Amino acid sequence: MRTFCIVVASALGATALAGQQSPGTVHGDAALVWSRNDSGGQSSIVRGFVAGGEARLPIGRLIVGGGYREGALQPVSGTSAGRDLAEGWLFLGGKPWHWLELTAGPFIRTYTVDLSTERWVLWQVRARAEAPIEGLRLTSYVEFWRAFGERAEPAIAAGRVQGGEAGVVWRALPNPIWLRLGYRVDDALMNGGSRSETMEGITLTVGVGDR
Amino acid sequence: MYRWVLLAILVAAGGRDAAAQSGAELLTRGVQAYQALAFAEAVPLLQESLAQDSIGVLSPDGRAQALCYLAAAQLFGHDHAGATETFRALVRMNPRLRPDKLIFPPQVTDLFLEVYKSTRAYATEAAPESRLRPGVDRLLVELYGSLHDDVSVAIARDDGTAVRKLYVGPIMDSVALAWDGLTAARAAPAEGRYLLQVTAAGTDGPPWYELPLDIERLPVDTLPWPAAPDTVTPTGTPLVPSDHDADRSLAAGIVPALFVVALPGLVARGTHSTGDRLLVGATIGVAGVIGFLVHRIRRSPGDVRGIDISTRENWRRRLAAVQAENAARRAGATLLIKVGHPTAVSPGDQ
Repeated sequence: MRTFCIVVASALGATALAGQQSPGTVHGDAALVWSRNDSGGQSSIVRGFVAGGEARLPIGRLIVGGGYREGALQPVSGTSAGRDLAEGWLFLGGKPWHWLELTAGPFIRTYTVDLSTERWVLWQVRARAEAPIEGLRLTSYVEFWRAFGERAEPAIAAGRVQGGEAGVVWRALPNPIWLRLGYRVDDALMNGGSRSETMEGITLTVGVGDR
Repeated sequence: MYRWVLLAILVAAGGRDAAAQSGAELLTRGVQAYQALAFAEAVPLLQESLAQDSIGVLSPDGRAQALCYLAAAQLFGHDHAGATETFRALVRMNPRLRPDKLIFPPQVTDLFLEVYKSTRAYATEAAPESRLRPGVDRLLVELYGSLHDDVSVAIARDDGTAVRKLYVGPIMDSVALAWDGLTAARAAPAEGRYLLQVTAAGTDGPPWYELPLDIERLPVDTLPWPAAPDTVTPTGTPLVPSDHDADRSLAAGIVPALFVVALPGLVARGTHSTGDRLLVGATIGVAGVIGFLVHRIRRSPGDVRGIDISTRENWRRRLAAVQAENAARRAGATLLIKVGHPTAVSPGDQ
């Protein structure tokens, strides 16, 4: 139900932006996600669809925004049970050059299994570069991020957490609508490397605005 | 042939002149008959003078004069119902008109007052043509009413779509209306025919009175759009196609494609990553190859679709600024408002 509300809100926001020619951006995305957990020599994989959206607004030379996505992951192999995934994030940043965007902000990921919830709170620093393939109509991008000050509940000795993303964006110029196909992966090493959590996703995004 | 056409025109013009003389003359003769107390003779003369008005002979003042004398002649000729209807026509023509107390005796003016108090009629006074800057200037309309009504006055499109409410409240004798030329959404109205409508307050009934307003936008000077970077740079310098555009497109596809393949190894241990990501990598790579081929095919003099992204973004920003400026100028355009002939749609006498 919440996912439905997010998609509807994104669509309404996108419609409003399209009508008002706002400089902001709203997008909704759907992703097929794999999450692999290696712990104590055993590994398990869960997989599922997640959906969500993001809104961003340029204010002068700054960019502010936030997003949310969620979905249910089902076990594919190993002993892990299915779990619900929810992620939310906020960011503030800017574009020192037209091809490079730097942002930072909090990122929260929660796994819910039955009644127990594991929550990660990260502070991410992201760098994203974009290059034209065919003018503005077709561009590609790569992104890398690293987390600082990570905290997990229940308490887990978190270590390195980082990730990246790459993809291609097609814009329906002169209309502000765009499509994006991307692949992202992030990895967390915890408990001194004895446990790792790797999440991958192939994302299809539909957005409106100057992205 | 031309002789016959000329003759027909002269006959038509002569006929119209004869009618004009006849209408005014009939009024004069009718007034003279009334003053000679020959009421039975005055009534048909005055009725005929009013009938002549159907082809526009009598002026509004002359028509009002004819109606007053006709009503008085009918009253003294013992046609009370006829006199009442004649005075009702006078009130509906313009509720500000009155029979002159220096000319007509109290029986006549008393009957007029009685009819006036039971007849709903409205009239307006406004400049026939006004130039108005929306939100800055005002269109002034004086509304007159014969009865003490609670009215609602609004501007609407000629198809009935509400545009702006101007006044809701009582009208004792007259109300000064002012419209700033904006719709309820604080926007300048589109060109077209509008109606100033007077209706009973608090009801959805048909309007009692409508005054047509024809609105035109006077032309404004707008800025030309900046030339697209397909032909010139933002500084006006003709662009020269770059030999590196195709190679850049290829690199912009291949590098992220390789990044997708290598990403699990870069950020994670990557030994068990999904192979499905290769589909995304392949898609990006194919996009780069297509971009490369498109640039190669289009490599002809003057073809500059591969110009760098900053040039296009600069052009888009300047285009958006010019479009916003032009929209502001158009929104602030001066309106020419022409006032038409009013119609009493549904007077609804008391």
